[in-house]
Amino acid sequence: MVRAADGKPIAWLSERRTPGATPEGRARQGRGGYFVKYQPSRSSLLMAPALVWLTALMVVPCALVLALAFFRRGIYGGIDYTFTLENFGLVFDPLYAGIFLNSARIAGTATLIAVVIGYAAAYAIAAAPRRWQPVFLFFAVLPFWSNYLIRTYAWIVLLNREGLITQLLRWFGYTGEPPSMLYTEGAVIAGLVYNYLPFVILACYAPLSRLNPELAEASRDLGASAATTLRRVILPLTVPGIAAGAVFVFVLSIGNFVTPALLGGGRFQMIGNLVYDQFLTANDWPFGAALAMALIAIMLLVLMAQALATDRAAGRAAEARGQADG
Amino acid sequence: MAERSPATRRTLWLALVLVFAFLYIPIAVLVALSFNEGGLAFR
Repeated sequence: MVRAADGKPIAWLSERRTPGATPEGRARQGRGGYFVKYQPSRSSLLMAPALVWLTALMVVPCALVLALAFFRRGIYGGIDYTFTLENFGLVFDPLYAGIFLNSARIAGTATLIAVVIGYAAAYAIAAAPRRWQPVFLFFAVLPFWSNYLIRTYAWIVLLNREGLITQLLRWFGYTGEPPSMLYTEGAVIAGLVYNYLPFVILACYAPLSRLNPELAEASRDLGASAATTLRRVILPLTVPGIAAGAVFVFVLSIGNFVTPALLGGGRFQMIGNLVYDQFLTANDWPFGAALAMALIAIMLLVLMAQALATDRAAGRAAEARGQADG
Repeated sequence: MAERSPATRRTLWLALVLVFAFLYIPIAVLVALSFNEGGLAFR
């Protein structure tokens, strides 16, 4: 690290495209450079523990997994430290690419359903009397207090051939063979929606509760129907919440391996199961690492899309505010 | 939020009830069956 004469750290200043544009910049030029003394602020000191934690427990393990993906699998399992790119090539093999696409389809369907149900719930909560809203939010989050496995097992109890749905069908007079609902793709999607729905409700509630009611009233006064007001006014202004909720559900669903294993009965392989199998069953850690890196790349793309959508929505909201003020 | 018609209010309450039913019925069934001495047969 570059240090000043008094021993304090110095950071490179990169803020000037036109160095002589400001009096401060001209003064620095006069002193012979773009270096300024770096004074660690209180906020950077407060962030330091979190950054150390993230670096040690997120960045370093991810870097190790990435490094692992460039080696070969040993003959008897383990790792042969010979550089290769074939693990990444294998990720694009039609067999594994198909599993990626299947996982994206299942996660995408779960996300769509969760967003529709979660947005409706968040809208209803935001429209409820103010004193009831914290109560409804509490009950929306309460199922989260139970264990993920227990919540998933609850769906096994519900969907199995002797479960509540079959009992209800029989109660209504159905006498045929019980429908097979467990160990289907629908069961996996239902489990994913159920487990991640509160994320969407919370993410969508925040922008909906802050929404200026006068905007909707103005839209109705100008002759728009309730559906048009929702589509043209409320939905565009709550895109950041929808995008955040959708990203939560999609990212957590696409890498999930517990729900497909329990509710899919092993018939539906998702990327999470594939990575799990490579590490713990096939003992092919380098290929498992390449698959995990591909999964991280997909998640990064989704996060970038979310940031873009949020940015555009913020721009639209600022433009609308500017027009209203003008 | 803005004033709503009674029909809209009813629809919103119905949506809320359905979502809470979706969230709580699986857990309620699991809790109820935890008192079942004979266990469960999955098929």
